Amino acid sequence: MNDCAISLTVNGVTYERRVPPRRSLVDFLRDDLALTGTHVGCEHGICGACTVMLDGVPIRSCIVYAVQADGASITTVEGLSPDGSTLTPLQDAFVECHGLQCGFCTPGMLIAATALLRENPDPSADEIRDELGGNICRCTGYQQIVEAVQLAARTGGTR
Amino acid sequence: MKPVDFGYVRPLTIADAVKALACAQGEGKVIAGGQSLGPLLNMRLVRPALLVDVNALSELAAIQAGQAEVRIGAVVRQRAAERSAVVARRLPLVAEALPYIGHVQTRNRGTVVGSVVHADPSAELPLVALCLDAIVEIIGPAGNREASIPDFYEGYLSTDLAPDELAVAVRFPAPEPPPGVVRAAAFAEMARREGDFAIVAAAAQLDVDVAARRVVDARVGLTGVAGVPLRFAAAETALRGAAEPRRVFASVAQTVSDEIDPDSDLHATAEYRRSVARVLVSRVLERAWLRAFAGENGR
Repeated sequence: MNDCAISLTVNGVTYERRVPPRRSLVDFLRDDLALTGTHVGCEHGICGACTVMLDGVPIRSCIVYAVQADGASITTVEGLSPDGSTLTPLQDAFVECHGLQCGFCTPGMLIAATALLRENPDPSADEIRDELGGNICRCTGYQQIVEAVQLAARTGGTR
Repeated sequence: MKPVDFGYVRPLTIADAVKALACAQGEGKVIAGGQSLGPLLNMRLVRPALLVDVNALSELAAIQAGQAEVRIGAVVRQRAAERSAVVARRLPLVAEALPYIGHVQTRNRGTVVGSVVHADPSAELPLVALCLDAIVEIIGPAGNREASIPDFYEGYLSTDLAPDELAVAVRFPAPEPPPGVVRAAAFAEMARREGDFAIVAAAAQLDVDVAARRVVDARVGLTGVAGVPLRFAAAETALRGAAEPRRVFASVAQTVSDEIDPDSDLHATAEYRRSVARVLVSRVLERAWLRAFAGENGR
């Protein structure tokens, strides 16, 4: 099929590319833009590893096609910190609380938790578990992830 | 896991969308939220030649409250409906069911109409649409038509929608209850993990004459127990007009459980489903009844 021209903003930078319609947004981010911070796991909308923000809300980028993101604004894990070199309070809290082991789920967790803290700066443990329910972690048992989000809520959330 | 190649258009008008579907000669597929279609595409269980993306049809992005109904357009996200004051007030059963759909990421993208039309036999919104006598508004090459929900569902993932037709909205009847009558709803779901597909889910909506402590109208339904969501006329009749109905909730739930004939699968045996159905029906009736007096419909 014919490639489609798309123009979208990723982490504040505008990109113009041609993509085959079947290319998922996550493959586009990783393979076309070399933004490999977003991980691709199950590829059918279950595991949450590929979570990015599309126009400010978290979505699964494996079941959105890049062509659908034409005109949209995307934030990936690379775009969470405003200067790209320091960590956000949430990222610091993941380090502090040991909120990860292998790190595969972490980009999706960070995006989902960032969205949560923007809307609800002081979430309860239950609210955190509910909001992160769509992100699967096989290492931590989730306890330290929940603690990291609670710590971030106390130390400045998403800044 | 990548979909097979497909063409893609994102029309700006309903007329262009219908034209694109007609040109695809049965090989076109409408995509709105894509939360069910995306996985099916990626797993190559569906292989349409053309995706018609309706997300740019801004005229279908509204929740419109009319005198006796609420109309939800085809690109209204589940998350938007979940946060809508109109939905909370006028469609308490929809509001109760929405949080059970997938996860936040799913609801940020998934649409109300898409879920109703996808007709998954364990999904929440088809059950709610059935209980509320919803109407699907359809536009196709032959013009506009409407389909009422019990007739719209033909079986497992199958509806009366033709490949060249577009579901543009779902209308949920929502007449104001008469003075003194409170409408209260409850939804309950059993799944292996929160956010998973339901093994069984139950919905109840009661219109209650609060002063007389009497049920004026009742809707009771289940999903996950057949190829389509089911409503239970005998149970509703038994509840309608009943004063102090809590004493009959258990027997009504038993009747419902006896009436169904679910299949066994990997997740649950038929016997287990019947048992869960009985418990959930009893639970949603109890919850709806209590909510009618508490004057709230929070989950």
